[in-house]
Amino acid sequence: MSATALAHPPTARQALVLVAGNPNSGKSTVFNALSGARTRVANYPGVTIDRRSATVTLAEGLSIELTDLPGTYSLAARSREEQIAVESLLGHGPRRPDAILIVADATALARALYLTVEILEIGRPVVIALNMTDEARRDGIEIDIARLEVLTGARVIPTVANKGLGTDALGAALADAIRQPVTPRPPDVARPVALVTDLAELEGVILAEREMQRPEDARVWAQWLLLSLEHEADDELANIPQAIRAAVHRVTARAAAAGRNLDLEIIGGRYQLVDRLMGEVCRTPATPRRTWTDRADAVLTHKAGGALAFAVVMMVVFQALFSWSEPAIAVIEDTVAAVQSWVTGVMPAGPLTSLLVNGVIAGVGNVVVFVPQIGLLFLFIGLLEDLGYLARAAFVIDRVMRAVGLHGRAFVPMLSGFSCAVPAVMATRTLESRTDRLLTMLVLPLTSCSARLPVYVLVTATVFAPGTTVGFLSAGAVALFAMYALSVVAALTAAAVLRRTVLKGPAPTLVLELPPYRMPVFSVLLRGVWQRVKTFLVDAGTVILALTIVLWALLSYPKDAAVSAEAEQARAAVSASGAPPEQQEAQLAAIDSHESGAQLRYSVAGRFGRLIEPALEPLGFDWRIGIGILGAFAAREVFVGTLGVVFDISEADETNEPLREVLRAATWPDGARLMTPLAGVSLMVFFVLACQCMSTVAIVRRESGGWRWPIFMVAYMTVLAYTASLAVYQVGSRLGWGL
Amino acid sequence: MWQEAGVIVIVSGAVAYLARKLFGVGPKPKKPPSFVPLSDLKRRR
Repeated sequence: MSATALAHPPTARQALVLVAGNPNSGKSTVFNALSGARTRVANYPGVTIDRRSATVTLAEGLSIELTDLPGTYSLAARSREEQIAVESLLGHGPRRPDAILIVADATALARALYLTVEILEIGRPVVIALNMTDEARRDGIEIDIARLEVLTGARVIPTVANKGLGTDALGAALADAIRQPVTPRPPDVARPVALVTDLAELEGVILAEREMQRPEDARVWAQWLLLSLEHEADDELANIPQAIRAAVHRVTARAAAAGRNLDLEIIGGRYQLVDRLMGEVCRTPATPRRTWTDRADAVLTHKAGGALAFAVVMMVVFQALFSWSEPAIAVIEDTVAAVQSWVTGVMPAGPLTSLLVNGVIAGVGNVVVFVPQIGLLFLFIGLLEDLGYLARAAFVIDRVMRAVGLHGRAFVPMLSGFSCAVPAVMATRTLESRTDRLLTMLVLPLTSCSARLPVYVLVTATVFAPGTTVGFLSAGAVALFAMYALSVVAALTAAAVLRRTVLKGPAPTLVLELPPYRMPVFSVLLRGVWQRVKTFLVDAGTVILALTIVLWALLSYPKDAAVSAEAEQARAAVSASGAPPEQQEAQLAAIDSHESGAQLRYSVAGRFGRLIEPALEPLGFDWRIGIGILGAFAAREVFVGTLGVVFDISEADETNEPLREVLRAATWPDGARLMTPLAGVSLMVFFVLACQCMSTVAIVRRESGGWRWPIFMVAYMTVLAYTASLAVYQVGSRLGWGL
Repeated sequence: MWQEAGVIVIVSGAVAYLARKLFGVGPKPKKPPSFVPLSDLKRRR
């Protein structure tokens, strides 16, 4: 959901074409078809959050800047996201658009026509892409395109954008609209006399406060302000002069006193026109057929059936995530071990060799090894999104969301949080009220992001022996599912508590469009998966690698010269002893291990880890895991790499076994097993609940406008994580589950 | 000796990279802003 950088920077001479349309009308697909760009497309309303632009060359070499706007049902704006769309259309952005391309869903023409009427009022050349005409035809909907062109004054091009049909004609129509611009005549919207008077009063104030390119623009603005600023609610609309706000409030107060409903007068007038247009251009079957979308929805949005289906879908996803990735992980682990052995063989022993083997190669391996799971996770999320199932899941989940005080639209950010909290926090802009948005931001980091997945996978693979099953499911899959379930419960509970304490407010209502079920375009889906895997490798992977290297240094230095000298003496004594070679080898290995452990305890990280060990012991963690947890406060992904370095060095591992084997063999000083199933669960619970991500803290600071909320977030999550982990380990130990 | 020198080069590079990525120290990539941060917005009240 993140913004795409400009494909090519636009030049000053390029015409600007804005792409507008309802959510889920296929706007991003049309944008991609025209530009060849790879904007993320999903069968879910509200995918476009930021503006994205691309330079497109149309017929006869005409170069235009095509800008995709967030989907909107109308030009009324109560959120920042909607204001971006409106300001661009009204020409209050850096440039006034030369033409506007409206993408209309042919299966929901009335809704598209409402937006079209509003855009026609702006008075810029308009081209309409009548998209999904194949689905409209299948549903028995007939649209008189020629008549629609006459009535709107805009070119109308039928398209099936996901199959590339009609996009050439659309490009040609856009080129015509730019070369020979035709300003559509204002739509014939009926307005009561009182409304016309109110609008005239506002137009006067607007023209005095803001420079307008055309006097008619003030009329468009006046209507927009009346619909957007009407309420005293905490809107986040920017750059609106106080004098204009005051005038709007004066007009709305007067209308309310006179018993008039301004919304109804403005919107009702437009809908009268839409009804008239629909009557003239669109014929729908008298009795709509019951489509298979309706039949599937009867089950998937059913109160009980929907919840059950959601649980089954999630369980299948986790089982697949766990079992399908195993072969690929084994190949990666073997390859990394082979490279480490090769480097150990060809380079002389020394600090650089140790750094390369235990820092660099292990670091790369610890990044790459999680690509199979992350790829599968994104594949499943993308598949469910594109099929149209996620909107149903949002509908089913809304009952729960509302009960805890979260807005139904927060489902999209919360779901994105399962991949990464950073874009998810940005996605909270789709929420209108600041309180709703803050609440979502503060509980979002509790949803289990993909960076936690490596930790869960490593821990479950370590503490549950291969082949352990719960019923017909592997223990690993059940543990994984339990952690995700815990993260959801924790997020919802935190929301319920925050809504009733620091962020009080009424439970908001969700209005969500359920898109028809559609087959995903697999090439687009796979490209999306690759983009996200690449982001993980490049953005997260490089940081993990760098941190692994720094950590290696912190774990290796300073060296205790006395320990080294003592080890050298012991080695010399073994060599001079004349014992059989096998016995000498065993003795030397024991000396190496002892020296490594002593040097590690002497190192910077070792001393710090031992300093905090008393606080971590009640949770079931020793100082080595403590170092991993501390490193993970920078980024959770670092945990696995950190443990790799800590345990490789502490075990003086020459055989380069996979990390899970090393962890399985690790012990407390008294010889007791370190990573018991209970310690593993305690560790995973800590990771579910702790806010261990600098990037998330940074983005929450930026989006909330200060340090207050991110500090609060880190504090409450850390306390929650420590308490829950402590409870798990202590209660579990008392019940005898600690073995 | 050369092993120590190699360690210093690699670890220094990693520290510099982290300083830039996590704390924004050093030259920043030129990238157009993709959105307006909330903190830049004027509040209504």
